[in-house]
Amino acid sequence: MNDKITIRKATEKDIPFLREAIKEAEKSGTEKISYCTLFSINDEKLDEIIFQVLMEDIEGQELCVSHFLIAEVDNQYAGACSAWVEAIDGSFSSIIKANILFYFLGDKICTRAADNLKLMEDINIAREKNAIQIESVYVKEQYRGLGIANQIIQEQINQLSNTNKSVNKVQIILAKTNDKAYKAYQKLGFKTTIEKHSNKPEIEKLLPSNSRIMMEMPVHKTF
Amino acid sequence: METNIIEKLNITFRKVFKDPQIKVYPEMTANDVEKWDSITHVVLIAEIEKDFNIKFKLKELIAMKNVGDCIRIVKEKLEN
Repeated sequence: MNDKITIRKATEKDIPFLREAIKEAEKSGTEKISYCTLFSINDEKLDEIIFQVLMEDIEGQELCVSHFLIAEVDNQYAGACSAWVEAIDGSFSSIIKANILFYFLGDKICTRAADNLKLMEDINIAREKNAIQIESVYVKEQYRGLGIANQIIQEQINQLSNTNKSVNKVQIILAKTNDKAYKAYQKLGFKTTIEKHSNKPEIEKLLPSNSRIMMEMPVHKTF
Repeated sequence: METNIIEKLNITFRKVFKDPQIKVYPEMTANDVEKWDSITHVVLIAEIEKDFNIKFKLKELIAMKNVGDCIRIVKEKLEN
């Protein structure tokens, strides 16, 4: 089965699948999509926003077509993963993403969401400059168990570490309750470096989990 | 013009970050202000738009790597 898996760079044509990947990865196995809960927007509006953001292809943050690799099995979509090197041009992904969401959602929705966003301060984990960031890891249900996520992540690490000399580690942020993902990343060599928990009961209404962790792995360069 | 923008930005920054001592300078980035995170950034951009009566384009927001870029973009918008 493994020989039928191919990995390639995503293009604009893949946007509908990338949108599925972003939303499903965001849910972390629950039914909560934080973009909808935090900004009080419905699924239709979120689809529209993700489409618009992906069309802009803004680098340095996860919602960027150029940062995605896609895995296919027999020419069918099987999985996706976004990765980039943090703050390579000086701007941190959190600020770039804040700019994007502000622009597409508008100041009214963003200002209204400020209280919800403040609740997240306790579990906010900062990404490190020059570290490879892995986000939106998604494998369609029928293709799980084939090692596809591992292959895409590894390919992202290889590509980014070979083209960016300053890179020496990989980071991934996930909900603590996402056991399957946690174990898979552990197998790949990731270790937990930061764990944050919120005692605020409102958090559970907004996010898949009230705990978040950062896992890290050193990059072993192949050149 | 630039001095006026800086003075006005100082007022906006002091209001957003609730710090009466804060003074902006061209090289200043989010890393230089403790409370400048993604949440306060959104509030900051909204307040700058309101205080200067301007609307940023997406490419202008993305091009702002520091306060100096912001001053330059605000100046361009006010001149046009």
